[in-house]
Amino acid sequence: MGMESAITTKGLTKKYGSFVALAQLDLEVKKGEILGYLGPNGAGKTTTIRSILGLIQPTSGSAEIFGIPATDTVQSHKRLAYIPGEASFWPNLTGMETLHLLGRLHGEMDIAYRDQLIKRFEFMPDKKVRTYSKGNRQKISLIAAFMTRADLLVMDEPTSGLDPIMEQAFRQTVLEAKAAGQTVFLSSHILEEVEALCDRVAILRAGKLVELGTLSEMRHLSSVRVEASFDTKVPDVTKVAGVSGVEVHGHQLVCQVQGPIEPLLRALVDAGPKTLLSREPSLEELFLSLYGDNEVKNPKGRR
Amino acid sequence: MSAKVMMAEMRVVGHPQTVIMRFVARRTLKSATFLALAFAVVVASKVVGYVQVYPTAKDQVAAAAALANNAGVKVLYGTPHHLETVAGFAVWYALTMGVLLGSVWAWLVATRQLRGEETAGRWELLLAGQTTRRRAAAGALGGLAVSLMVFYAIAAITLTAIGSIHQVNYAPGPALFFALAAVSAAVMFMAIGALASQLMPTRARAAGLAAAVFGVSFAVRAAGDVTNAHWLLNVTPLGWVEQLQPLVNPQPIWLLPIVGLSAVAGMGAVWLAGKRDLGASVVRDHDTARPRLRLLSGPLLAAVRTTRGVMLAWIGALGLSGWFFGALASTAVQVFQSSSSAQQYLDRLSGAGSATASTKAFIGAIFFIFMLVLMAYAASSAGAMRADEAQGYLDNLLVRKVSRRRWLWGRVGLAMAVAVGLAATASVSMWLGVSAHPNGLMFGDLIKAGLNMVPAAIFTLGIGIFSLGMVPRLTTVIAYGVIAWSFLIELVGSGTTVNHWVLDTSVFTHVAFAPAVEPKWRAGAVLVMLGLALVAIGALRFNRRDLASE
Repeated sequence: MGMESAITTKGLTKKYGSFVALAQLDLEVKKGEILGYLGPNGAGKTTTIRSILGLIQPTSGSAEIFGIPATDTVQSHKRLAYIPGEASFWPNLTGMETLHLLGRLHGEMDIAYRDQLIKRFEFMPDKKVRTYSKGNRQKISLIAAFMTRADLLVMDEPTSGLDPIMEQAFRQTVLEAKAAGQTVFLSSHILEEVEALCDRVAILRAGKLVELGTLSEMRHLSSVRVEASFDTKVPDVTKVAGVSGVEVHGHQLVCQVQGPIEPLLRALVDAGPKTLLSREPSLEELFLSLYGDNEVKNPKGRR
Repeated sequence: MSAKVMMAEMRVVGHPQTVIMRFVARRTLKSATFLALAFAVVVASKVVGYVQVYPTAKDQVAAAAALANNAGVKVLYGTPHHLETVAGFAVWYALTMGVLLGSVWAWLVATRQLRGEETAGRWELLLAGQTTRRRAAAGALGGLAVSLMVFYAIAAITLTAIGSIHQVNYAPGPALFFALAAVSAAVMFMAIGALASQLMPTRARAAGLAAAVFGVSFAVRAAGDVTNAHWLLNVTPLGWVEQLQPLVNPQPIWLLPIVGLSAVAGMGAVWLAGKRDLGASVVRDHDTARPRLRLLSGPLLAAVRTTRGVMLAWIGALGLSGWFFGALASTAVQVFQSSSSAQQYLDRLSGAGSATASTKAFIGAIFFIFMLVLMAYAASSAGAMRADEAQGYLDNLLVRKVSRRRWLWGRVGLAMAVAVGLAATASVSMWLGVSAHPNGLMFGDLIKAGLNMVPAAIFTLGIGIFSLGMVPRLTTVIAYGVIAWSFLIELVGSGTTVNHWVLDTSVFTHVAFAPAVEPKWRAGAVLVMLGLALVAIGALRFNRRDLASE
């Protein structure tokens, strides 16, 4: 209670004939947070976003934007801005004309901030849209969304086509938005980007939400990689609880451990290690651990 | 080892040009077949109907006299030759159908396959293969030629079969030349469409250029037919087709300019394809511009801003045509009144035989053509709305504060306003053309004739919006289908005894050809109401359905 939710979906379901694109999605995006939305191709990420935007009608369930039904697009869109992965703009308008039109359609824009963003993204607004590269067209979407200073920014692969320098500019702008109290819903395949920006991560598979939490909460899903070197013989840790993938190269030991790390540490310390290195799984490793196998390693038993 | 295995699995799957040719042929064969079958049905039913309605030579001579001296009919169909024979009638009619249906189809598919594919970015995928821009363009033209051959084959079979009918009676050999004449306009306008695709930066502008060439060719041909300046027929592609005169008085010499124009335009297209950069065009747009923010304040005004070029082209084309045919009206009527059998025909048509009545009859026929144009505008408006959805432009609006209802009704209102504007343009420009010669025609008659066209356009728009709501991907096909169907029924029904229920499915059955006859205002009001009801149902469904991509 208390804190307003930016996005709330309840049992949101979308079917195309017998194909279930999205199944019973219950999701809450808190006001002011950056939520990363992950999943392999066809998992239902874009379906979720298009349902939230009211571009497609859910088969069942509902979605709300700051308590406003997503189906009331005029009211709900007053408070959000959307960045698609690939937008189609009118080819004969210039970049500036397009930004002006999109700003007028939203109703509000911060013109000084727009001009600042044009400089930051090194965007050339006098060229006609048909002459822009994919990256430059993407900059229109980014500037058009950020300049509105909308309460909620919904992004679907927002850095598609951007070079690494522009991607840094994007990250800076997202963090500015968060600092200003804006909420960000970020669907992306660039896991490094999600890891760097997001407070929480939701992971979707085959239309179902399989994980939702902070990165630290989710790290239990994947093994911790441990590397150790010894002056003497490498101890046998294959029988230690939770240990797998043991590899021994001379005096070097590499293994994975899932669950409590203490039994492994005790076994290693007893053998007197020369070096000891352990690293938490990256988001990429977490993601691969979820999708590398046919079955989802899911403690809640969901598929 | 693995490399060896991979090499062993590699196989040659086609020569790039051949692949492109087959690919383009595959993408155009369906429409070519549909077109050819429509041609076959229309021509066969019309000729069979003619034989049924006018079974004796005496009947046919009387019918020929009436048709041969109608200036309005001549504008649309050209000058008939030997109409006292059924073969003469078949040639006159089939060539017109071949020109009208074939040319429009040809420039639409050529511009779609060449400029349309290039603008969409798919052409570069083909060019990434082991080919050059010229070879790829030649391959595409080859694919289009395959579709033309299918059109020819079906036309040849149809016309040969018609020739075998006892009362028609012509040999298979001449029938093949007859079919060649029927598809010759399509050949020329396919090459012109290909050339326009190299000249213009967008598909719409390329198609517009080809349409303008057709419009000028048609107007010059019409002027050659209805005035004493018959030499005009020698300088227009559609005049060359008319002068082929298969069956009745074959003049294959006119194949020379037809083949020449097609070859020059086709080879020019291939040459230019290699000369220019991918995505560029001979007629260039400015790549940069100072921002002009007028009209960019809302969805409706933005639609005006982004489509104003197209709207002005429609208005300009109709205005120019109205003035041209208006100016032609007096001359045409004078020419026909000086002919021996004209008075009898005009008496039958208008009951008066006066210059005013015959001018009205002529202008009525022109307004019929304008009504087709107005309906085509309405169909294209529905198609443009669908294109905005399919290409993702609509997403830009709907993810902001624009509701579907506001967008759709705004665009419908705009289309209706432009349709009324087009009708007014036709009336006023026709008046400007007609008023140069005193003829007793009142300005009010032309305004009424203009307004008389609007219900048909609103009904067509209604069908288009209904389709947009129900079956969005078929919007364009269905909207233009209404026009094609009505036209077909009008053509077939006018010469045969067709069930009135079938006749009633044609929009033209419910519209009078004003100013030759008084408009049917009540039927017009019903068409408007039906059109608005269809828009309302389509809008309701559109509000509730998912947006659909291409």
